[in-house]
Amino acid sequence: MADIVLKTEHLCKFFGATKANNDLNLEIPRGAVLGLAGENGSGKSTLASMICGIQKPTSGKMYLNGQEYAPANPVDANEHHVAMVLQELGVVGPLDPVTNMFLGRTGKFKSGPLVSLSGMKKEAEATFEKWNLTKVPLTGVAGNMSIENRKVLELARALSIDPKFLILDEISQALSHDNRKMLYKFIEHFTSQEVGGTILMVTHDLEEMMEICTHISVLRDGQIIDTRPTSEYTMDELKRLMIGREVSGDYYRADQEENYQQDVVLKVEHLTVPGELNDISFDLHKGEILGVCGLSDGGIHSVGPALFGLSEHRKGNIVYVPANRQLKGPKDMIQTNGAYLSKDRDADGLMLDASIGQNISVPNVRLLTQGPFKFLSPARVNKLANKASVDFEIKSSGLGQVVKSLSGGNKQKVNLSRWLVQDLEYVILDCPTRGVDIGVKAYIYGVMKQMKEKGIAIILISDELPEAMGMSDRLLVMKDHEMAGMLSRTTDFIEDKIIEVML
Amino acid sequence: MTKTAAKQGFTSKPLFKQILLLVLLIVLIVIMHLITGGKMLSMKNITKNILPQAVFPTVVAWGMMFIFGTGLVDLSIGAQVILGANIGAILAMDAGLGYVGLIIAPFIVIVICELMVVFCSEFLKIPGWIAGLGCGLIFEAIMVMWTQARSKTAGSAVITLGDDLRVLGRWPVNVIIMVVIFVIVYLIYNRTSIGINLKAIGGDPGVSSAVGINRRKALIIAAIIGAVIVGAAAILNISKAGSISASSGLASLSTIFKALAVTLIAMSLNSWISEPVGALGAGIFVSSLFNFLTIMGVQAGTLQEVILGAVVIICGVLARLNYKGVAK
Repeated sequence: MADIVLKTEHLCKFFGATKANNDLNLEIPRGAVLGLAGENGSGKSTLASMICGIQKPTSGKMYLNGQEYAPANPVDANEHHVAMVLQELGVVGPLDPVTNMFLGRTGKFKSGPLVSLSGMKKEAEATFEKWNLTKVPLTGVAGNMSIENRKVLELARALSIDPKFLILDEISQALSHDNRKMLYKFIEHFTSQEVGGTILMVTHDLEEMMEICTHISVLRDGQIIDTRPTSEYTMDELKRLMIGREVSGDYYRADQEENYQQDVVLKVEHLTVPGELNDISFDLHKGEILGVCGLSDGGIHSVGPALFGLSEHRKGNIVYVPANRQLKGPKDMIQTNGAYLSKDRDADGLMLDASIGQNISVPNVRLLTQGPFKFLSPARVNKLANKASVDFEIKSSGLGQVVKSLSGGNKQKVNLSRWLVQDLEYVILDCPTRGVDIGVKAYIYGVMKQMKEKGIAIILISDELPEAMGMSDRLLVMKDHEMAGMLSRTTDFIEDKIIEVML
Repeated sequence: MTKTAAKQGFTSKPLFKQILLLVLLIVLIVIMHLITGGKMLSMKNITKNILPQAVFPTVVAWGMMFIFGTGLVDLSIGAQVILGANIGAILAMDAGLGYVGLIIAPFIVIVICELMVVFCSEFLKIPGWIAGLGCGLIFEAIMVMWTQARSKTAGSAVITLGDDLRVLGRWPVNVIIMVVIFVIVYLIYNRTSIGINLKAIGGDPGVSSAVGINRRKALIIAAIIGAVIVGAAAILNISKAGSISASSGLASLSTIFKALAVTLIAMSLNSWISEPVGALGAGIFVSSLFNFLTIMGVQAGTLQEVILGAVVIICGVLARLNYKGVAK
């Protein structure tokens, strides 16, 4: 009989009438990497948050190493050597990274009444060394770190408690190619016999799940539909179980040709942001999907804000060619039917305390006003918000629901829908499928294909090489904040070749 | 380790910014000194005006740092200072308790007042600034009623400390006390779990709860510490001034206007420099600025406040220039 580390018995979590988790029975063997597969809102994060003590079950029991386990809070869970890396960004911006690593446990470093800062820093560095994590800057404030570095920091924080059971909730979505490799190596080491750790992994990247996880449990509408060793699943079966219907196996573009119109929409010349981007130039054509990829901190996520005019001290020219108009800021972009979706939806994309309807209507105000006084038409607002909500299958209690209360995937759906319901001429998408399930991913790729057919130009900034390769006509590969190459779908889209350019 | 990762390493930048700030502060004060024709940095002016006048706003700012740091913007602190200081003076003079009354009463009164604001905000679930304004009106009214009653019984509404009870407000005792408070505040704020938890709650309550910090407990502890520090400021203030008049209609806010400016400057610079140090520097700078303006004949109450307001805004802008909040 397998050595069971964590067991749940009839575990339920209800929020009013919503059954986020309903009668979950799960057994996780020691050394396993159990993947939780499911659509956005299927209850994966709720289960994870109960195991790590953030939420308490409505009913049911959990057992850890055969003993009844009911963590009162995350610190209690940590004391049982259970740790978690949250789906949402989980650092306190104004504090330094080292303090962030030991928040809630600073008492451990007490020397008399005072906390030993040097002791904390030493242990932080030792944690990075011990687990061979990518080193991130440990000075300054955490709010100034990139999303990727914050995620690495959160992983280090989880590991600093010496966990035996680790929950990784969509961590890889925030990581680029090289840090994903680091993560996979870490997972292999953590679950080895030498360490004896066990991992519960939530990810929407099913290829990653099939590759990394030893077992997979499928959740749908808060219930476990199936649990089996990964080898017993096929990709199509997994998708069908998750969604409850057949999903096409290949959702990327089927063609292998660089294919777009010759008309240039955007002409970017010598785009430079000191310390972030250096001398980037390219043309974006009608109907083109231009992928932007590179290693972590290569500068790819600086491209979107720089193009949209959010970066300070931006130099270079961006011209909307059809009107020969210089684009200096967001207003110019929006007036020329452009849009930008940032990678960090919570900080830069959504108004978290506002309703779904308000979030959808705000970027579309100019389309929703009427008359000489530009009054907002409530009927139009509702119609547009309803359309976006239906098209993107946003799971909510209604358009009045506050965005903050939605699951991560549903937040991303709101974020996308608010722009993509418009008639755009060009759009900059920075990791549009971050944190969304396979069904929505397929939908987003479908929308992108339709946009391409309509002649809309797309800049797709992506941490996922398969996504960039699968959807782009050309790939702008970045290295050290510069353009390292421009590769063509027709001749150059070979993974090894692209990685060679990145390195 | 990858090439990119190796290049990142454990880098450090803040020291440069801290030195830059210190140099900037010194340069500004020296410029003001030169403009006043060498009057401002005379030993007499420093010990009689600049440093003593920096004491009250700086110490109140340290107290505010703890209270505001949890996200509770309490605007009743001025009323608390007036009430606490006056009750201390009443006990010292009218009840004949001397220093025992003068020192103990403000601490107790202000801790009770602050906890009242916290409980109003926390348990009645109303924003801290509303709870603070409401409580502030109550504290002011209590003091006004007390002084009105006193004027009938003792013949004077204002309680004035005797000279023998004003040692704590004199140079160099007041500055020495400020330095001692600074050391304690610095250590609590930066080097204890209480300080770290308080900053975490102020920075992100959601993340703080997710890592197991008891928000309500930290809030109450921070409020008590902040109130004790404000209590110390109240003692120093009445010891220096001899008396503090009761006020109404939230006029007590003006008592803490400079302290508020000092707090805002320190908070705006917190990504560069630790807040207690920032408040100390800001307190000295604000005191120097007002002293400079007074020497230059700038009218108090109008243009001086305009200039101070501009300084607060400039500090805020400078400090945010390099703070991304979220990196792209």
